[in-house]
Amino acid sequence: MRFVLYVDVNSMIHRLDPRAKLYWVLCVFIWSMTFNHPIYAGMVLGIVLMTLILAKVIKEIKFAVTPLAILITMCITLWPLFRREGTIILFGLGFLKIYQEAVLYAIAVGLRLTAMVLAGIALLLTTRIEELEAALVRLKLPYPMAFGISAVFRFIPTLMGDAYMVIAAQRARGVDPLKGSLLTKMRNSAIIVAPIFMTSMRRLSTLPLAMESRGYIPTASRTYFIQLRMRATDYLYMVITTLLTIVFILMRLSGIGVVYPHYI
Amino acid sequence: MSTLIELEDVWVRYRMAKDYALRGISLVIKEGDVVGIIGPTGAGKSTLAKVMCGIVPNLEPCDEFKGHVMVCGLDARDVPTGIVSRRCAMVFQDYEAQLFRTTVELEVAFGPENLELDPSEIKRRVEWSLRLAGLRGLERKYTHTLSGGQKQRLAIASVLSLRPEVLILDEATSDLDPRGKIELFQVVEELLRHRVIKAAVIIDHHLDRLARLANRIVVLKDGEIIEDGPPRKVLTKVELLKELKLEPPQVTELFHRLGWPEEKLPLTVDEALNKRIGNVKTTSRTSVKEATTKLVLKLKDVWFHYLPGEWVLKGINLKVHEGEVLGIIGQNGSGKTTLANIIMGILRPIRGKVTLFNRDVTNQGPAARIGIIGYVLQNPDYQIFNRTVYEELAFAPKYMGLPPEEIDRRVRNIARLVGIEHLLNEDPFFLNKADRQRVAVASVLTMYPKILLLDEPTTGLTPGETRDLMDLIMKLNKELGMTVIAITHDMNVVARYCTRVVLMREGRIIVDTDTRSLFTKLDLLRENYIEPPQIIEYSVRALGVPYLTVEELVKSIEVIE
Repeated sequence: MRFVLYVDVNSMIHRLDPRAKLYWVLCVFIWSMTFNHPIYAGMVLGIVLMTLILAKVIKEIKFAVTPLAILITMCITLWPLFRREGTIILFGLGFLKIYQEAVLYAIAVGLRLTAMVLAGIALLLTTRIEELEAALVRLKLPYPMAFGISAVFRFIPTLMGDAYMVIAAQRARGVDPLKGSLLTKMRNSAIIVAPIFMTSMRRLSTLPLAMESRGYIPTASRTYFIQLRMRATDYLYMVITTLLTIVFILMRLSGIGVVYPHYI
Repeated sequence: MSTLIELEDVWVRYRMAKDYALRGISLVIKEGDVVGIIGPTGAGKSTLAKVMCGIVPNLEPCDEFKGHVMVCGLDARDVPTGIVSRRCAMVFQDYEAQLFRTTVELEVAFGPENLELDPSEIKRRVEWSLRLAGLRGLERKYTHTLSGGQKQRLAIASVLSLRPEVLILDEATSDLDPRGKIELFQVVEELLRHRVIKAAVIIDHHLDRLARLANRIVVLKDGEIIEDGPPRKVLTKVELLKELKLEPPQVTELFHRLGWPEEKLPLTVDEALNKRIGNVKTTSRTSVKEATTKLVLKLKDVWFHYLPGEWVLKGINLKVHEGEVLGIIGQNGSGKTTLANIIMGILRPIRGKVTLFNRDVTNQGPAARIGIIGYVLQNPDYQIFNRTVYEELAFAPKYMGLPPEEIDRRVRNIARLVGIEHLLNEDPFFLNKADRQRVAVASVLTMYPKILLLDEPTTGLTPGETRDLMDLIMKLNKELGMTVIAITHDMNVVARYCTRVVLMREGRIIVDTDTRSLFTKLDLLRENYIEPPQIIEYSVRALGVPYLTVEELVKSIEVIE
């Protein structure tokens, strides 16, 4: 079972400072919201995919393909039913009218969400959690909060390991919590949930103890093992990203890349 | 020598607790001291350790705390735990609970980061600590991918990087294989010799090992210090130690039972070899109970891997006969637990065949083994979920669809056998570890299995608790004819209880023999970093024949007047 998204390859994107990558994700979000025409939204998605190729991790997004396909399909089928404005009617049945603009808009929304999700995944594929934590600390997020974020990632595998052992233990007692009808499974869920909950409580209750017994004082300042340094390439990357953002916003302001000018 | 830790009349009562955990402890630890703290469960050993590093009373709620605690010149009650722990740091008994960072190097760096050291200095300390703990090369590994033994080493490294003046180890080697235990004690010795740490406090049940390392032994009982002195004085009080259900060094016990005076008792095998004990009639050696020949479990050429190409089991052939007590031993990562999961059907072999009572169960899951094999996992908390002990015991038979009267009969029968009758209405969550372990065993026994499969059943138990649990299992073996397969690191358990031993290494069975023959091969054991119990090493070296227990040897000796 794989618990860590990060893929350890050496690529231009991997070498970037996590702060530059965080900035890029933020900009992808802005770009995605800038356009609502599918071709332009597709262009933003294209940039994200290009980045994934540059980072040599494009194959790693396989796990996300199905959920994203479902997301796009849902957008395309549902949006046009509710956004009933436009000039060209594609399809009409009584009061139900489907407009061409609404369909285009729906496709754009699907692509836009995909671009945003993949940008986040790209960040996690190319950046270690601890680098991200270090970046957040440098960006002046209080240490306990940054620590909390990395701790969540840290304890997911532990939790999964516990769950595996609990299931093994219960199977050894003749109960297979993963088998049977939905009703049986629900009835059986207590035998997995209760031990996992109790085990996790035992673990987490000792966390502050574990931290303070290693010299940690919540209010005191500390130094950091992971050193981040913005290099010329990082600045270059951020400049390019910023320029693109400006260009995209100017395009939008002059009415390029939109189906509905008055909607986001 | 300067004083490092000074406790003066310390009383501790935890929140909601009826009784005091510590009652008027006064203790001074000076530079150069290596203090071994021993005592039965609930004597207050861990509490004492937590007081010394500032966790009690600052972080663990107490209803009452009295007395003075000075740690390296600091009044432990006035400064936060984070300050005290920089001077006097502790490795927890539950090492999993001590680890909270994503990667190995960050785990070790956490302490030095708090000390506000330079990144370059942090890096030096990380390298230094990892080298000492034997984890070099794993810097960037994720903590959750480490084995239990590696995690325990990591917990130790993460404390060493603070460079504390006093190091406290609270059963910090419980999950290490024999080799790991030896290595870590060597590290502590080295740190002390080079004055990297000024004193050490070690809570450990292996008194023979403590005898070699400590220069002072403190015995706790019911929150009070009842003995405090050099090992030679304290560990030779055999009767007292036995009364506390502790295991004195076996050679010490041997000479004590042969009537030697306290001041002349040896502590180590080498000391014992210098003394003459008299004539030994090798004839009266009790022979191993012959196992009946009925085959109950057979594994034929079993191969298994989690990831293709990385074989964890490489062609296991194993036959288990009815009534046997089989011990499976081997280093961490040799494939023992995987083998147990294959036997139980939780994992299926990639190649090979598993036969249970002449039935091919290779491709069947645990359901096909219910009522035949009972499997007890190392951590009892993974299976306990009911609100009372009674319900916990009744769960499996209920699930098997037995009638209520039969279930009730089984629960009461097993509860009596296991000795937890008085706990039937308790909430298992609040029991101590030894009792939870009993509940876990009992909840499997109510299925009336013919084979009991145990994965490290005695880890984290005191010698007394280990004895009680294993005696119970032997009772089941004798009275019900239950076959027992136990994975264990504890060579005392192997020597005392197992009739046959299988030694695993890198996914293969390299030795499969009766217990006594195994222990004649001291070289082979050393090669596999297995430390035989003192009495065996002594008897092989002194007499050329292994005696498995002190009783056995005592019976065979004719004392020369």
